[in-house]
Amino acid sequence: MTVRIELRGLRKEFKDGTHVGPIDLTIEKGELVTLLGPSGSGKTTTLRMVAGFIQPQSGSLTFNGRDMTNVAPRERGIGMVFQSIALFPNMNVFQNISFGLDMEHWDRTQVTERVEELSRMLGIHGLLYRPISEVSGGEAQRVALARALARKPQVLLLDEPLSSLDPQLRDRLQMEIRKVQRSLGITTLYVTHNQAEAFAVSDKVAVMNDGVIIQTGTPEELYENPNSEFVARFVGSGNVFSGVVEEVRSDSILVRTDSYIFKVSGHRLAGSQVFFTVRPEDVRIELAESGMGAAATVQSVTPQVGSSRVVLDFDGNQVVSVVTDATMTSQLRKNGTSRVWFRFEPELAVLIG
Amino acid sequence: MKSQNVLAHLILYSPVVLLACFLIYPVSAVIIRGIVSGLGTSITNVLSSPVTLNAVSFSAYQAAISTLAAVVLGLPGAYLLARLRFGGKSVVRAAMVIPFVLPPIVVVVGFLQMFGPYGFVDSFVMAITGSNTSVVNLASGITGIVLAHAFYNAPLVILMVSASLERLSPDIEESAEILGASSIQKLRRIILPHILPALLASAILTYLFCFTSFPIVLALGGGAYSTLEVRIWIAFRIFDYGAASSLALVQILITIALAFSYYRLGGSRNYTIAPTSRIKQVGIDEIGGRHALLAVLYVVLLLVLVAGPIVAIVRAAVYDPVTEVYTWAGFASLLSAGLGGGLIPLVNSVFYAGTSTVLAVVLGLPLAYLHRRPGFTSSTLSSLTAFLPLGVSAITLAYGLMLCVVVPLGLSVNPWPAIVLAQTMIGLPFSARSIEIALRNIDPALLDQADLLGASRLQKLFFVELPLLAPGILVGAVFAFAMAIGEMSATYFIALPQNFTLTVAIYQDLGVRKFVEAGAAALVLVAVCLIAFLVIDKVTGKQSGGVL
Repeated sequence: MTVRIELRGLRKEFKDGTHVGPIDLTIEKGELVTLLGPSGSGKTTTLRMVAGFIQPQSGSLTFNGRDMTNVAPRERGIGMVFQSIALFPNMNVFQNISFGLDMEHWDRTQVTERVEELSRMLGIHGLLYRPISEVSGGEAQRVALARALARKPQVLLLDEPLSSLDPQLRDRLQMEIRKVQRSLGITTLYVTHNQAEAFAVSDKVAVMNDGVIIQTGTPEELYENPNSEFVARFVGSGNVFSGVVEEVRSDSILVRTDSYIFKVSGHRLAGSQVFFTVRPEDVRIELAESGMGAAATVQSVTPQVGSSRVVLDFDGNQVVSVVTDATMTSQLRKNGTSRVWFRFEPELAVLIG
Repeated sequence: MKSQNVLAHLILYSPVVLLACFLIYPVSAVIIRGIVSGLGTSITNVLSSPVTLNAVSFSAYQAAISTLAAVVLGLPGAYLLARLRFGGKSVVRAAMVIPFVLPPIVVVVGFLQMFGPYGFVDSFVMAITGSNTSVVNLASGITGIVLAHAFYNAPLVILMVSASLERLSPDIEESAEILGASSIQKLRRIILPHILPALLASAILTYLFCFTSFPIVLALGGGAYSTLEVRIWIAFRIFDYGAASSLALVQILITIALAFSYYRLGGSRNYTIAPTSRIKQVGIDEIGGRHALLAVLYVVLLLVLVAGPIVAIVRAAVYDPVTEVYTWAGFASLLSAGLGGGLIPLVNSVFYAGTSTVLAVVLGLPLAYLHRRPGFTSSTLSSLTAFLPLGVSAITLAYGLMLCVVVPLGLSVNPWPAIVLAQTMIGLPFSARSIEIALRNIDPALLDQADLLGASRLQKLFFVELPLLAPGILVGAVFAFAMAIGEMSATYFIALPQNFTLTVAIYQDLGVRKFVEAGAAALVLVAVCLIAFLVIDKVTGKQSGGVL
């Protein structure tokens, strides 16, 4: 049975005065939703409220419409993987995976079958009888996932499950988690501070800051249409410009920054303060002044797959551009920290908020 | 370069050599000589004698009951200390060290005053029942012995087990919870296996201390009960060297086995380190009524048993139960220099303990370095050397020192160096361990950094390592001093009247019913221990349990 999770106005205040919430979030049946945000933004607290380890002061938490706030963690039908993995050090791999089944007094043959099934699915069949001290980081991760899934939970909670792994392993495991989650169709809440990880695994991402969700949407929506400066900086490229509306035209506005006036599609009142963002792939660099671009200096040129990432200094702010033209790249490299000009099409800039 | 190396080795191994000279040689000399010389009872007769069997079985039996009492009493405390959030927690934790450093004979004084006839508890019961004669006496016989041992060792269990509980990652417990484990299942499958090494280690240490217990059994047992150590003492006193040596051999074999298993357990102690300081704790206000009541009852029980005897010493120092008056006579006697006065024992105590502390630190330093050296031999040798004194009967050591140091060197008229040597051996395990812990906590990168910045070996030692080790050395010194000044068995055996220390004076005073004199001397030693505790608390903050 799959579960639809609803958090409505969920709020927790701590003794030191900090608080998380009110949180409103819906996780549809079989969906994987990620809470993404910097450390201290309240992601883990929210996850722990869903798990039942933290009792919210107000608001409601329902699984398929059933109120869960007074249900003990072990009766919520949850599987959870902790950031620290938290495998039982006094047991071997098999005993770890079967722990939850033992608690439910499963029949011995059924336990063996279930553990075999999971260990095959997760590729840890060869190490069932190894002590926990002898499994590697990636293997431990898989064991923890198998242990969480053993009781066929209705909900899977993953708290920064990959943060202790090296990047290559992390890439591989996030794909595996996604595959397993899809094939089981289990409703999942995932917590991470890593934007790339969040975008790779999620159906939907909820960006958190200062204890509240700022924006919820698919990775594409967040990337293309951030609703705030924070989201634009945190999930996007970081190309955020601020200025004052100088002039309003029929389908666009002119925005004055400290040293340049940009044309941006959309509508805002004249004289108002606005933020807009431009994706790095939409920022074009020119080596000579054409009168059409803003002046900036080159800070760095870093090669990456199929392109180069060029960071410009524009009035003390960073502007990132992706350059695919090899001659341009070599020219930029040769010139060092020289003066260049950049521009973008008005319709490719996105007004925030 | 070569001669420097030789010198370094000489320094490193000097404690081992000294221990061989002043511990292993005297003790083995006593045993071998006693067994082969044919003086007194032969070893076969001793081993088959029912008296020996009684002493062994009584030692084992009372140690088992005492250990059980200490564990039963200590476990709830360990749980509360680890899981309850309350103000002054670090002070409570540090205060757990106080009973451990209190001299046994001082504990005897406190116990008599607290639980003995006409003591606090007895007076209370007498008032309730309206009786004018003593009703309860918990300070004598097996009850008194077990209670006194629990007094000593329950705090040890609390410290060691709570430290282990705090290392259990809360994520592990929550994993078990979410996988459906009930509180009982969690306790049985997760928490108990986690604390088991610490629990066993504290139980073995407790058993070891109780098995070799001497002053408590002698003073509270009233002659009716004797452990092996008491039998050894009696055998020496009646010049039955054969019996004494055979008994000492039996005791050494048992205690070394215990000490060794304690040491082996130490290796597997730290196995789930919590990744953050997020320890699963609850505030006092968050626990329910029934649990709160149980906790309060427990704390009261612990206060009566552990804090009670310490506080009772204050009364013992000023109240004379023979004349039933409050008096300063005890303190006056403490300052009188004449025969039977307390001044000479006081000066002796400070002098002997001070000298042996310096020696214990000087020997402890190379021993700690030896322990950190790579390779099985040096570290095993060092551990063995540091633990040996714990496993050897103090009485046997004392006799060995008489035989191999005092007599050949013509010190019989004033054998004080032997007392200092004995006290050094007893303090050494603590100074070595404390320094070793401090050494382990030095980041090796720091020393490499000093190297890169051009410091020579000696500059590195004096400007980097020793300043970093200073707190560890101080704690080790304080521990060694407390153990030395509280030592009674060996000192009593070696000392002539002009060498008596406060602990010996207390025992003598108790024997001739000079209770206030004993009380006043005991109070002085309590004050010393309290100061020791304050220093340890100040220097180490939270980790004072580590030295044990």
